Parts: sequence; structure tokens; C-alpha cells
Amino acid sequence: MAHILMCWELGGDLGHVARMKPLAEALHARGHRVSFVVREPISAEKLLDPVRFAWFQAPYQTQAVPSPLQPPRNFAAVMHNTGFHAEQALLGRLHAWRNLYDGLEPDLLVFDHSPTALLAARGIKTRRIVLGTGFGIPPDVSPLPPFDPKDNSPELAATEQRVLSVANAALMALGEPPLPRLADIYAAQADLYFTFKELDHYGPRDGADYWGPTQQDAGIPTAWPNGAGKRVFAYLKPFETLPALLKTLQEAGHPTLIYLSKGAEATRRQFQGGNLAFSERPVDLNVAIAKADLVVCHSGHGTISAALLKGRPLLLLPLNMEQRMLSARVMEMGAGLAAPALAPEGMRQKFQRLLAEPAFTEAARGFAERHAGFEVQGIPGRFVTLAERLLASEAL
Amino acid sequence: MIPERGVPHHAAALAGTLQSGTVGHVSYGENLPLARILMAWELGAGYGHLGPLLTLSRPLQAAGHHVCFVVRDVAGAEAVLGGSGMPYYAAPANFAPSGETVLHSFAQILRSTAFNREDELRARVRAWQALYGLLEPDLLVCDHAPTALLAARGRDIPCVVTGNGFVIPPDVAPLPELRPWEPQDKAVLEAAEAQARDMANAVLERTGGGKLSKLADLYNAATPALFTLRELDNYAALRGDVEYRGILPGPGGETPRWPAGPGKRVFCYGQPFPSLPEVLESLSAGPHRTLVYIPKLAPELRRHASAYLAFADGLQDMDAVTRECDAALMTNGHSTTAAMLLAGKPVLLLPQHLEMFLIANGVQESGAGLSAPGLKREGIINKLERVLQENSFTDQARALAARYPGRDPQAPVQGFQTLVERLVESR
Repeated sequence: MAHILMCWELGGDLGHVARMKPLAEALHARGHRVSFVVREPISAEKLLDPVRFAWFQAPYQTQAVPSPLQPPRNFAAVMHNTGFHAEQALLGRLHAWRNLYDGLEPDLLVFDHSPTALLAARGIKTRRIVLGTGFGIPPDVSPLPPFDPKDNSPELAATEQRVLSVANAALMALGEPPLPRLADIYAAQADLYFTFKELDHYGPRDGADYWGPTQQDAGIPTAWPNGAGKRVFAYLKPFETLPALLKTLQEAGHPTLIYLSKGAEATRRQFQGGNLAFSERPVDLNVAIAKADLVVCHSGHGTISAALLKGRPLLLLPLNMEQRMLSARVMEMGAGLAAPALAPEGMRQKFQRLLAEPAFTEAARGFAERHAGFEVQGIPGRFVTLAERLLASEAL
Repeated sequence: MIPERGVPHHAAALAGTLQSGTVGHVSYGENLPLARILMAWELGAGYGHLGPLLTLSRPLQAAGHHVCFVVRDVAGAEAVLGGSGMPYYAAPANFAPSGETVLHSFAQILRSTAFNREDELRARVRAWQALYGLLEPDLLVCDHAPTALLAARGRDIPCVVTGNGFVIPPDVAPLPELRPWEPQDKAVLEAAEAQARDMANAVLERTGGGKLSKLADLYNAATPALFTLRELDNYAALRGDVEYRGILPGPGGETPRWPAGPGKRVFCYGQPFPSLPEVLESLSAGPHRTLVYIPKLAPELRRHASAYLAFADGLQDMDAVTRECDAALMTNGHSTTAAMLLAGKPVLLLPQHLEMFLIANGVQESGAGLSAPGLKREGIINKLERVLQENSFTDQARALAARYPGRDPQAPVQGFQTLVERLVESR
């Protein structure tokens, strides 16, 4: 049986380990050994069975880089800001990843948002699978596209050159040949897009293998407040104009269920009651969304996928570039409105339009119909088949 | 030059000839019981942990032992260990410690870093244990690595705790107040200590290992290798019969180039601080001759170079610096402070964080120097004058040095190797 190593370097929260968990469990059930290298061990502790899976600390850029590129305009800038700014820092991480590969001797490497781990694997004859949402897998082109399609700043190409030269200097120190293009870091035997074509951050790609999202751990089913009107489900983090949004939700009078992660206790206490109910613990997204008429969120990939699969329109409040890119995709299909400025009046007007105009729900239902055959339960088995096919294939 | 926070301690500056930072093959000798030794560094910053660990590792590696590192900062590891032939791995650590900066006890330090939450601590303990499973160490050497120690309980791995006094708490409960000049309520400190111990025990229940009856048990299960002087150990009064192993030799460096002339020689070293430009301005006017080595110096401050003030660009040969200077002005540096005192030279310390405050207090108590925690130009310059002009400071520094006669700089390293080999053999 084979040893499969699941790697996660960039990003935060539970999403990355949650995506790989059902794949790891299916591989383990087939008798394979699966180990994880994770940016945040707490994600593994929360989601994985420590008896079946060992996890290691991922080497990542733990200190803020000097002079980060703000805002990041393309994936090269993201790489710059996460440790591709200087050769020595990158080389330190590359050696640490390689030492793990040498010790663990994996037969198959799986990468979720892990450019350094991928770079470290160059020159190692181990098969690789890259997986993620569209954002975590930059398009295989040079120059890398801007996050904002209208952005044609000369800085884009300069950043890419800078990051490429740092990567190539580090590769030279490892005795590996240089990369012709930055996107070559992502070369793998398989690229798996755990999203839908319409929700690819960069727009639909020719020939891409879109699998849809894996099963996420269910939260708790939560009761809705009583009352007449449309049902609104909101999955939010604290942000500056959150009180204004909550005021809008309160004044609209619709029964509203809110999961507010991470803090904002005072705000929660202020608005709790009446038509607003706050869940103390993560909500079972599928259950909540099934009963909702409108979903409000920050444009997280999991929530958007769950909402659209059930044909629910979205009010999107993106907090970062990745979320803004995804909210643009939802707007494109007409299944929601984004209020990226988070201005009280903008959020209020868009909230009202989404409830008043049936076109948004119709567009969301169109998505749900196109993907009616999507079976999340089939993904792990399909992944095992692919992994075993790669493992059985001719040596690289 | 002795490695300190913020000062790279280049492996290349040492005698190493191995070329790779990745896993190398160990050539096993004839009769030695060769061992796999894991050097762990979890908390703290800069090079003050990596540098000494490298110094301790070199002879072990030369003797054929397989030494590897698990480190908080892999970029720092590349700077220090790159080319040493000793592989390194990323330490599971809390990289987003609480912003609390006024900490009053070792327990509070742990609560604000490694022991922040039970689930996070448990997650990291499991990650350390995964590394132990992978690397199969015969001995664990911990420099400020409490989670590594916690994870080793119940894994039958002998442990050495190494470092200066600050990172090795004494075997007492409650652990002492570290800011006696502005003490916190005792009940608050004891609550923090109980929380840390209870959290460790809750984690041990799930991950294996004997319970702690007091927090310090985490450390007293290990063999101490304390690299400091009794005079610089803030816990000295609370330790029993502990061996002070002295200070570790540095990697050497450039010959100091003092400004010419008859003035007294002042070595200025450490991290930048807010009044540094003004202090440099004062020093640049003489009459003393000052050699400044501040690795993170803002380039524009070089304008203060003068007939009385020179800037050094790289690590300095500390044997020459301590021999030739009359006094030192330093913001940090446990080892550099110790080196000055052992050469009988008085120091003026500008502490910017707790560990250095405590060292500065120890120096003041010994009479071999002064502390200027206000970091104001006037206070620094006035106190520097006193340290240079009043004989008592030099006298006390010489008296301290006289307590360590015939010191062999390599003895602490050799003693450590003997300790390690004894522990491995008796395993």
C-alpha cells in the first residue's frame, strides 16, 4: 500500500483540511497510509482522527515579509507576500519541506494551496496532484493574469519577474534547473478543481477538471426565529459596518438566522432577539440554506457553492481579493449582488433588491438545475481511483 | 562574535565543510554508541537559540552522531545551519502569540505563547510526536521548547534542557515574579500557573505521558545544561545544586578596528532603539573611541561616523573586542554581556525586553555595570561616563572574572558532549 502526503501551506481556517479530509479517509479505508503537513495543526486536531492520521507542521513564512505588495494584484504578488520575497527565506522553507519528503518517503504528494511545497518537490520523482478552488491553482499562463481583469499595470509583469528570479535562485541553490515561467511551479500529474466551472475565480478554463466541492463537516441544525416573511441566513465575520448590516436585517423584519464567527460579542448581544437569532456554534450549512430564501455571506467558496446548489440567491460582502473575484463570478451569472464597499446604504439597497426581484433566485435555480447531477459523495471514490491509477503508472 | 538575537551566526564562518542543508548520511565509527540527537527550538526570536545549538552540535556531528534540528524559524535555520549537513524541520509553534507584553512569570510566558489554548497545544503536541515518530531521536535537546518537552513525556525519550537561565525555570512552585519592581497580584500569577499545569495535564491525558504535579515538573524531568554564569541567572537563588556550564564560544569574526587616538574604547552593540541617533551623535563627538556593531542599523545613521566613532559591518572577534575595550554599551546579548564580564570589562546595558531587564539587574547587583532602562540620551551618556570613570565598575568586573580563572572557552562544549554521550549510553 502507498503513503500519500497531503500538504497545505497557504490560507487559513478549516477549509483546506476539510477539503482533503474525505479524500484522506477514503484512501485510508483502502489501506493506504496518509499523512498531513499542515499550516495550522489546530485544523487537523479539529477535523482529523489522530489514530489514523499523523500531521506535521508545514514550513511556511511565519513572519510578515518586509514591504508586502498591497494590494496584491496577481498570484505572483500573493507568493511574494507569503515568502517568495527573498531567496534565503524561501530556501529555508524548501529545505524543510524536502527534509520532510526525504523522511516520509511519500509515493504520492497532494498539494492544496502550497507553492513552496510544490517547488520543493521539483526534482523529486514522486507523483503529484494539485487540488483546490480556482484561486489556489493559478492559470497555466505567463504572465499570470491580474486578479482584476481591468488591471493592466506594468507592476504585474515586474512582480512576476521578481518572484520568478527568487524562485530560480533558490532552485539553483538546490541544484535544480530554473523554471521558464512562474506557473510551472504548479506542474503536476493532475490538477483537480474542487469547484464548479462558473465559480472558478479566474473564470472558466479550457480543459479543466471541475470536480465540485468535497463534503464539509456538518455543523449543528439550528432553529429559526418565528415570524412571517422570507427567511434569511447570514454567515458572517466581524467587520466595521456589521452593525449597519444587522440593523438592516432587523428592520426588514424577516426571520433571520445568523452565524457570526470569531468575536463581536457586544454586537451580537445588541442585536439578539426579535427576528434575529444568532447561533453559538457553526451552523449546518445545507440544512440552514435549504430553509432560506436568501443567503448573506462574505463570498466564501463553501457557502456560495452550498447556496447555489440549492438555488438560493446571495448578498455578498467580500472582505479580500479572493472573495471579490468569486463574488464577480456570482454577479456574472446573475445569482447575487456584491457590496464590496460594505457601505451601509449599498448593503441595504442590494439586500432589498435581492428579496424583491425574482431574477436573482431564477439565476440561482438555473445553477442548481445545471448541477442537479452533482454527487458530493462520489468525489472520494473518484479521487481514490485517480490516486491509485497514478500510483500504478510508470515511474516518472 | 557571540551569536545573539538579531545577529546571524553563519555556519560558513565556522569550520564546517559539509555542503548540504538536507539529510546527509552518517558515517558510523568503530566503537562509539552513535545516536540520533534532535535539537528543538520553539519559542523566542533571532539567532540566540540557533547559534548556541549549532555550537553544541558541531562536535556531536564530528563524532558521528546524527544531529537534526526542529526550529521555530526555518529561514533563520538556513542562515545558521545552511551548509552544516544537519537537516532541519519546522517546529509546531504558536506563531500568533497574544499581544500581551508585560508578563510576570514563566507561567504567563507559556500562557501567552505555547500554552495558549488546550486544543491548539494538543494539536502541536501531536505534531511534535509525529516528528519523534519520523526522526526516532535517542535524545532530545530543548532550547526554549516547552511543547517539545510535553510531547516527549510518555515517549521514553531522554531530554536535556539547555539555554541561559531565563528559559529554564527552577524546580519550585509557585514560580517567581519576574518583575519584582512592579509586582502583579500573587493570586493572578498562581492562577496562570495552575491554568498552564492543568492545560498540560489535560493534553497529556489524550496524548500520553505522566501528569505534572507542578508546572516546573515539565522541566525537572529533563537534565539541565545551563549555559550562563550564576551572576546572570535570574533564577539563581531558587535553583538547588545546579551546574553552571559557563558560556559557549562564538563563531569568531572580524578583527575590531577602533578609531585611532588616546580615548577610552567603547564597544556599542545590539538592536536599534529610539534614541540611538542621539546617542550616536553624542558618541561621535568624542572623547572616547567607539566601535559600533548594530546589524540592523538604519543606513542613514552612518553619517555619525567620525574620528571618534567607527561602524563595523560584520560579526566581530569577541576575544579581541573584550580584550581591547574599556567598556561596552549594549541593548541585548546574554552571551556578549557574559563575555565582557569574564574579560573583566564593565558594561552599560539598555534593556528593551524582560529577559534583558533581568540580566541588567544581575549586572547592577554584581556592581560590574549599570542599566539605563529609560533609553534616554542623557541617562545613557551620563551612565556610560560613570562606568568608564568610576573604578568600582571595572574592579567589580575584574572580581567577577577572577571567580572564573583559567577558563577554557571550549570546556562548555566538551562538557556538553560528555553529558550527551553519557545520557545516550545509559539509555
